[in-house]
Amino acid sequence: MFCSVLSGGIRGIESFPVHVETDISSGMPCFDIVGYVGSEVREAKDRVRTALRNAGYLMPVARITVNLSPADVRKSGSGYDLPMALSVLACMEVINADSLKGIFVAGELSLSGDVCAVKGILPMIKMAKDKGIGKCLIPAANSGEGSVIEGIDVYTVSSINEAIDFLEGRADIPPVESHLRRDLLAEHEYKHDFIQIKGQKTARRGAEIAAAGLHNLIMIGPPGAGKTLIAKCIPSIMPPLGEDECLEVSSVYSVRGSLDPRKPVITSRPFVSAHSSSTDISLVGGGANPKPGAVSLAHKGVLFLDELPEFSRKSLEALRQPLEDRAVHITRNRDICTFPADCMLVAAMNPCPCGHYPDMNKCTCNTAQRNKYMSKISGPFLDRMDICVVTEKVTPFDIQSESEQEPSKIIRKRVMAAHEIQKRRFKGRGILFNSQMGNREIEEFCRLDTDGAALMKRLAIKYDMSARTYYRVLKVARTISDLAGQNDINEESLLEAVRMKVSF
Amino acid sequence: MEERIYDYWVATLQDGYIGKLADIADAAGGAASLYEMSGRELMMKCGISEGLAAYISENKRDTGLLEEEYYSLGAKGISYVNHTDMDFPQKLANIPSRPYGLFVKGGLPSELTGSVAIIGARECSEYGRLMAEYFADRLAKNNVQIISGMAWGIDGIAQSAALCAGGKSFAILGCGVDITYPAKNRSLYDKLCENGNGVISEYAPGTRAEPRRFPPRNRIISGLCDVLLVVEARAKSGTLITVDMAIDQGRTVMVVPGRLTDSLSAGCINLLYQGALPATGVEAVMEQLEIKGQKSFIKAARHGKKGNIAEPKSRDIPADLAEVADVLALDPKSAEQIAQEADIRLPDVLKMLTRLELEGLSKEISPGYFVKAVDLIRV
Repeated sequence: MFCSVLSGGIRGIESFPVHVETDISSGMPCFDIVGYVGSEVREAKDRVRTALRNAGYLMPVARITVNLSPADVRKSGSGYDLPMALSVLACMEVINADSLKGIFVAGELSLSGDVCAVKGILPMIKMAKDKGIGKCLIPAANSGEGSVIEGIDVYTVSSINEAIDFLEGRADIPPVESHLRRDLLAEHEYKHDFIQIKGQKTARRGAEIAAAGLHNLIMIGPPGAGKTLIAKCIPSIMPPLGEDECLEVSSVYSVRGSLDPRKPVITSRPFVSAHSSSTDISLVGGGANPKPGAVSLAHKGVLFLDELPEFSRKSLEALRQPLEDRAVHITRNRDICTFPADCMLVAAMNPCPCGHYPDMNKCTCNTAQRNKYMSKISGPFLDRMDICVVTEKVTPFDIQSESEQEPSKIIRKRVMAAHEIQKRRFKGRGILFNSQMGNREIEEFCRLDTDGAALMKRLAIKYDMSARTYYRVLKVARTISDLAGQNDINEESLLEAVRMKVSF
Repeated sequence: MEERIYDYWVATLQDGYIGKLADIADAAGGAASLYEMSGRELMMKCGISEGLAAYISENKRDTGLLEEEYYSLGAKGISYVNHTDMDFPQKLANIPSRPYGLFVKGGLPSELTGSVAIIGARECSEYGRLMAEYFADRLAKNNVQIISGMAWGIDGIAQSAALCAGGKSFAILGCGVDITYPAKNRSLYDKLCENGNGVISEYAPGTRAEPRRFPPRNRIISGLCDVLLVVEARAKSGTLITVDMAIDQGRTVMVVPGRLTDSLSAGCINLLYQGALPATGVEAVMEQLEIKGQKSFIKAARHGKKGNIAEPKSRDIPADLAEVADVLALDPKSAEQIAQEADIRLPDVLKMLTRLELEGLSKEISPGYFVKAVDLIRV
């Protein structure tokens, strides 16, 4: 007797179909699982046997072979327990094999026969829908995630008996209600808003330009100057996520198993703060079964590196490639996992080890200490930072100031207008933002008129710019012009862009 | 072996017992007899401690080796000047703890013209930089030699400015003269080694820079000058060691006054209270040189007016930049402070700052912090 059930595996944040095939035949009694499986899948044997017995079904004394097809792709995770159990039951003719056709199944079994949550349900259901499957059967604990995708009926079960009753048509389980659209339409509440930030005009301006052109930003300022708070506010001035982007971001969190069951879809841009003791793997992702790192968790949002010079050189160097490619590629002996990593990098640092330079009445560092502190960040990494601004200690004057600060909502409007301009400009070129321009695009879109070119030449000589810095200034000037709604890069934007360059 | 090789040998011992070797060698009756003496004899005849006697005996090297060392100095462009030599600076002959000999790359300061040592904080402020440049430049143009320690900060700034003005400058190092310390002053070091300038040390070539070696070299800085000019010093500063030595040696100590609120001027203010002379301008320094007997300056000193250094007339500031230019000062200010004080929108301030910087009217001294670019030299 043979039966096959569709389930899914995870590679990166994508799911691929896996057919769980079971055959029961006469022969030496045994229970074999084949198909290039990891140890947690091999252990399913004991979970399935015990769960079935505790649910009231004894497995026949026969030769039982389970194959996970395709057999040449490594499978890991515990989601194959439920499909295995159901296919065994179908072979035992406890349930009708036809009821397992056209349905996607995933779930982990406990020894009692309960169905437990698995990671990566969201991309699995998306894959099932793309394959034209109409129904899914998933653990009740994953119902939140299951409700995200529209156009596919998702049923949840909490025990194996419930699953049998459902498949046999004895229980009437309604499909979970999809609420992606509802969540998206809900007015986004941002925890942090620029309205809370007093003073800090330079950093505000820098953050606005950075968000408008998706430039990486570095903030330099004494401790307690509000660098972290400003970074936290940046997602609130970026445009709201589109539906596809929501799904992509949610998939990353789903694969990592860290989606909130009560709010299973991430609708606001993520803000991920990495600690300076982070290893390179926690930053970019990795592990035997590759998991996304901080740079992928910040996909479509902000990755914040506080105390930048305290990060190990190795971790920072590991970040370079993902920032360039906007994706992380992790190679394991047969597979390449790809995690998206399209984030804006925001870094913060003190101007010197004590944090008070250039206030000579307070700073206790000498030049050598200061140079050592600054040189901890490698040049190639600094080359990826387009905008550099200083933050200052908030003065009592600022705190008590009655003047109304500009709320994120208004800044966001300007940023979105600039994004619109860039979308039109880069149509069909595979890039979306000014920061992503290569040299060819810069030549094309950052053309200067005679006066502009003369000014740029003077600036390049004055500040002894390298070719890289030169192009970075042009890119930032392009964004400043976009924010102002100007077609051409004028002298004004060049003069401002130069002030934003990294100057150490 | 020549007497000179023995002198060289004694000079290489200076690192261990700074300032004592000259008297010991006199007591022993010359370098050669010092070399021949046993440890016991040294203690008996020269009255030195057991430790020092052991140190001298231990460092006795084979005469062949010493000869080789001595004759290889020339190839490195280094000359050895013994305290008995004609060209040994007379100013150093009578100071307490006088050196036995000096290693020199380049030349020694001339005794025919005045010397001013300009010293101060390594981590100086923009004001300190400006003052060091101003005094060094004006003095150098009046044929005064600038002596200093080639350190980061005031020392190096003053020496660079003196060289730029076409004057002569001499650096006294706390390491061998073949070592550039700090390494970042490489180009200054190279310039000091030629054109009649000089790099001087009592430590043998190859001696590394170590903290303990710096205070003793300060007595040579103060010893070589007529007037010691302190530009910026904190309340507890290494500069004050040099000041003490200058007083012991009878040199005139002058101080560039700072503000009571600047911790970088705290040491200077204390010195003024203790009776140091305020350096109110280059004329005041020249006057002190004149009192010291440097007659050649009388004319120059009489010409200028004494008193404060006039704020240079600012070059033509474009009218639309005047508001921001007025707010800029020698204290670093951030763009935000400037925007606040001038009451201009921040993006406009940023643009104006770039334009001012292009015109050479402002300077970004640290990321995001600006000062007024003042040029006291060219006015």
